[in-house]
Amino acid sequence: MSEKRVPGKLRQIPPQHITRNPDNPRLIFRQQEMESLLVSIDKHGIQVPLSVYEEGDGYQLIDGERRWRCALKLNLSTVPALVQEKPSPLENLLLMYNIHALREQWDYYTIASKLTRVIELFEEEYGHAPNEIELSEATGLSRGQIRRCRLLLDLPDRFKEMLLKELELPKAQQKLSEDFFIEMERSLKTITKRIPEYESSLDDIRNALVTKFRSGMIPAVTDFRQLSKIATAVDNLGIAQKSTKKTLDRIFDSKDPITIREGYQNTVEFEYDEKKAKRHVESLSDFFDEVLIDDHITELDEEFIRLLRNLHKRLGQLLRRVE
Amino acid sequence: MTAAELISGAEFLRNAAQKFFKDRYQVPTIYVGSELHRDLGWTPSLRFVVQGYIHVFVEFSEDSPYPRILRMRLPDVLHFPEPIAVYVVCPEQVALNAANQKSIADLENHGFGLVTVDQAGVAWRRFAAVPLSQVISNADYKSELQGLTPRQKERIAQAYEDYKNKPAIGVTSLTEVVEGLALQAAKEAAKKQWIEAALARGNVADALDAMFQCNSCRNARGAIGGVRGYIADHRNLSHHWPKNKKRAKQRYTECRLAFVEGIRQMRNFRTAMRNIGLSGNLPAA
Repeated sequence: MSEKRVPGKLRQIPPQHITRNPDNPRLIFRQQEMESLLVSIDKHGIQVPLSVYEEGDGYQLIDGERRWRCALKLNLSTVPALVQEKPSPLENLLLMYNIHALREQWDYYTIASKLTRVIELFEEEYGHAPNEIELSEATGLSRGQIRRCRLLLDLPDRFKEMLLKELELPKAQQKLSEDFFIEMERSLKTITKRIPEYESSLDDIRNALVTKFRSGMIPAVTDFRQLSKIATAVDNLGIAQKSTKKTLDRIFDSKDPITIREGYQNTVEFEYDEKKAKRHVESLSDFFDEVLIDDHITELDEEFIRLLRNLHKRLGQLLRRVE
Repeated sequence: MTAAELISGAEFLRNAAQKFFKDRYQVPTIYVGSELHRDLGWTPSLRFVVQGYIHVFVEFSEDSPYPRILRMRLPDVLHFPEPIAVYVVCPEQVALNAANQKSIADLENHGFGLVTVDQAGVAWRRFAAVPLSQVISNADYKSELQGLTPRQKERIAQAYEDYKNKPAIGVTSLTEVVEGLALQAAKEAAKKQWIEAALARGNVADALDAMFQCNSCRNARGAIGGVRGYIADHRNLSHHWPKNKKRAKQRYTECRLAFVEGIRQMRNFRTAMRNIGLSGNLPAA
């Protein structure tokens, strides 16, 4: 993808002469990790030089924003930096993706926010939009990560701004997270695939879900998986679409106090449990066949036989009521 | 000069803090991300000067009420030749978190101030910062009080409250307590006819001089001389507070030493008085 870069010259540069790279996809710097680095730099200095290129009267960062921020906080007079040639815009972005992919996990919004730019620049340079494999090779991200990023990228701008604003708050004051939007978007995709009429009111639905999440009516982002299961119950459990839609309508109404969990319990939970029990019964039945056909009866342990007797008794009671 | 902060959630805290400090101290200039001196090895998030001689540093912290840079740079701040007070600005939720209460108590005990920012972006002062060179830790303060009577401790505590607000006034208050202790000893010595009664009713220096010279007090001369010198040196410490930053820093350090020294003098004096047959107590209230 990118050609070999000429190794840079090592210089000692005052950190005040360096500016952050506006294309750095990393936007969020958390205190705990920054303080660990701060202590380490205070004790041992900067062991790995920053990478910069000359820009105007100063330098712009390619790699090392955390070290640079620590150097400013510690009021270091200079920092070691490798001065590289100015990269092309695409190289600049891909360099940062690849440098950081080798280190710690970035926030998804961070990655997603610059992915569109990578796609545009790739298209300019190669004459076609990159497919998922090309994008994965260029950025060093897995295809799963790219799909998660795309869920965030496809959000309407208003919700992207809402997320960025939230991520910029101190962690203790954040309520909405990337995971919230990723899980919400996944479930909304599943729902609109089954019930396309929701497509036209997606923004209102998002608003209602954000409101319910903020007010604590959706206590965990994993609740959205139950929302998906309500919609897929039409195909998986043969539940009437009318009944699931009625529940979804209520969940999507910000004034209706119903939670996702309650909606799930009221409509499909029993059917999903029944389906699960059916799988256990089938598995048990297969085991009985194996025991009888291969004559393993003498090998069955006493505890198992006791449990079977108990089950037999319970089954008798149940079937008598069914009949 | 760039104003890049260590953490990314700083802007929310910065907006609230700038407004708060500007309103509270009416300072014309608040520096953002700017060093005070290369030797300090610390660029605070904000800094400004109050009363013309105290530097106030403000550090933003999003997860903890006691950011690590404070502990890392405390010795440098204490050795810096000008007085520095330090505030931490953190989100309100961080200050409300039960797990952070010990750190908040430490922060206050170590002389730092705390400002919290609520969800609406409004800053509130939890407790004030004091110039760090004047700080006497609670542990040091409590250990100095050992061996004194409850009444003496109570009077010292009143002086300590003055000290926390205005250290020189606190030292003057403590000097008055020391004087009370000395005059009571002189009164008891006069009752035993060791010194003339008129001297015990006069000024404290004359009373102490008389005690120093009397034979019955010969074994307490060290303690008497110590208290005499302490009162002479510190009773007017609050007058003419310097406006020069370096001299102000020296004065803060002097106040801290003087306050601790005053308690020690009281303890020694009490022990010495008891050893020669006097009560070593303060006058009855």
